[in-house]
Amino acid sequence: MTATPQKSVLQVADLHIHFPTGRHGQTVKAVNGISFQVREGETFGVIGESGSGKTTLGRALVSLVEPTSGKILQDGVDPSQLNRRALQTHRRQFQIIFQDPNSALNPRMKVIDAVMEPLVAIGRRDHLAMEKIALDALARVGLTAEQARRYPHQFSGGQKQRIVIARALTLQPRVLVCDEVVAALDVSIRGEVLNLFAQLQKEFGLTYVFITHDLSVVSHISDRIAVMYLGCMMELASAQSMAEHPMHPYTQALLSAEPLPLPSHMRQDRRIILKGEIPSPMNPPAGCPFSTRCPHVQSICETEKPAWREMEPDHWVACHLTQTPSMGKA
Amino acid sequence: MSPIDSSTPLSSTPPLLEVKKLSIAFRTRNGVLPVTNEVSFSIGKAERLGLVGESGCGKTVTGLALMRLLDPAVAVVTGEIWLNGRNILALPEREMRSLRGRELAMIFQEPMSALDPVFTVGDQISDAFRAHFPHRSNEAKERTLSLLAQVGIAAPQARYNDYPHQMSGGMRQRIMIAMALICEPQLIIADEPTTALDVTVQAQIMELMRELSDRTGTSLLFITHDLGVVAETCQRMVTMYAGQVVEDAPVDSALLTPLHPYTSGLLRSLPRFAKRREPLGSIPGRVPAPQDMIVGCRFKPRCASATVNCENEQVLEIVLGSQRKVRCVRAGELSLPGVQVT
Repeated sequence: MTATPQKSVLQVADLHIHFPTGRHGQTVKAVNGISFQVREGETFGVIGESGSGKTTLGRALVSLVEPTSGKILQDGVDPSQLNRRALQTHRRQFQIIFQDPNSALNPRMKVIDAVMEPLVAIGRRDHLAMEKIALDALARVGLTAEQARRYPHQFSGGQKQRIVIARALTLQPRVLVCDEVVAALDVSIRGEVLNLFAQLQKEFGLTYVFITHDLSVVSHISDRIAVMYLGCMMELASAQSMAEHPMHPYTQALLSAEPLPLPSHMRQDRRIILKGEIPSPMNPPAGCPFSTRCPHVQSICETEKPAWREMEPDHWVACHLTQTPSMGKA
Repeated sequence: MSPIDSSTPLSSTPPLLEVKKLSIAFRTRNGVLPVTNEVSFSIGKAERLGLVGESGCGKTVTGLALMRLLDPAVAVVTGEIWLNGRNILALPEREMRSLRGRELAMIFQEPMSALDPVFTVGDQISDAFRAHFPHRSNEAKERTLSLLAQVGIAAPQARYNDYPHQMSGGMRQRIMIAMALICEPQLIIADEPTTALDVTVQAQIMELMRELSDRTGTSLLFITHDLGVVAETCQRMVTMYAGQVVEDAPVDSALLTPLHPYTSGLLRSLPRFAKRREPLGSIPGRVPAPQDMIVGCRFKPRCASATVNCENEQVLEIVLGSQRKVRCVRAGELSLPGVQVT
């Protein structure tokens, strides 16, 4: 990692994504005003609990959901300004992998055909060349040509996730959004798949947006980590400074809540137990989204939404209480 | 150290629950399929034990067998389960019914599917009490309200008449805990009680279960795949692999000096203990399916420490000291890495 400014492959500015729910004209504010940039070649981790909007954000980054307002620039290009044909070519470089490989693979399609499908979808017809691309991609993830002739049900969960990764690779993307890609895998194979992601990044210079609820996974693989809560970004920092001095009270609570597999004498009693649960995204609190559960809540937090500020170089926080960088450890 | 009969008790005080050589098999179209093989462990009074393993290792089915919730038409259960001096596998169903909820209770992973959507949560909790103490049913509502407060439900009076769909996931799990507690059972079996919950809510629920068990002296059997949950909640950890218990040890010893290569492999796979961005440990291969169980050590095909001896017949559990058991022919001669703090 270097401190020099790198090229941004994704630029998000004041992004809002609201879904109408039909009842009384209410909307679910899945993403509620966030701004950040993803740099070329980095692993950008997004962490959040259910209902934080992390999945919606991931889908928006690859143009599967349209912003209600705000902008997403993919490599400087606003996909909403492209016509259908141009969008189709453009979006090849921005791929997504989902959590459950079972529902991402058609059970009636052989693995080789599933992996070739993106190529067919972009209109290629040279079957032999496509097959070669697919077999190469499968080889990259450790699957043989013989295995390529089988059906998805003949593979384990970890292998199926490899197939899905291979499929995403066939279009030679530059950015891969990975939405909970190891959540469905057992611990003993999770390591293997995470190692594969790291190796592919080195080989192809990929940029990852890694969305997960698993703290240990996100802190292991990410260069920078964004913490989401109720559609908002609460904190964004390098993995190291996030681990060493989280500034937002929510991040502090989240990091302390993770059960650590440590023997008793190595554990510190540093748990912050939050009260209550995440409010409904249909009716988020007026001020800071975390104000209903925050142990340090002040009156200003309930009325005014905190600004998104860079408190230290490359360390962004949205909290009224972190007024000055020195108050970071409040 | 010489192999000792696995039924030797590890401590002198009689345990609350003693599982002896519990084997479970399912009747299928292709014959009887063994799922667990001679599982033995015990839980002391007020002890919290973690039963850990990956999907398919037989931990959930073992929990269901303890409650006798497996359909006898499908499952063949052999072995012994001693609770308070009675082998509950030998009890008639009628007596078992009076035990369930009263002496041992269960909390399931997914509270939404374990709660009945058409009854209020208050009725569902108090029902268990009325069923076991019909002559004291006038106390039921009062006890339920006090329990709702104990498990951290704000405004119990108002919440009593709520239906499950009106509550969040964390609150529903609190209802399940209240339901398990109402008859003050001696043992609660919790099958992945926090897996479906967010990490900040998980912390609340684990805190609650620890505190309740400390205060009431209720024993807990925690079935989970999460070693962090076990480390923070339990005193002892029993690791299962492919239907067998492979290691049984106090949690701290299991984490620091695992004796089975599988336990060690699991610990090394945790991202928490790898240097950032360096390759993680993993266990090559996959868990064998019940129909292709091999002779000898079941972990051998994935084990880095395997030798020819591992192929020999059945690998027995070996008792080491007064606290530990391990199913490995190389037990004691291997020095395996546990958690490393960097």
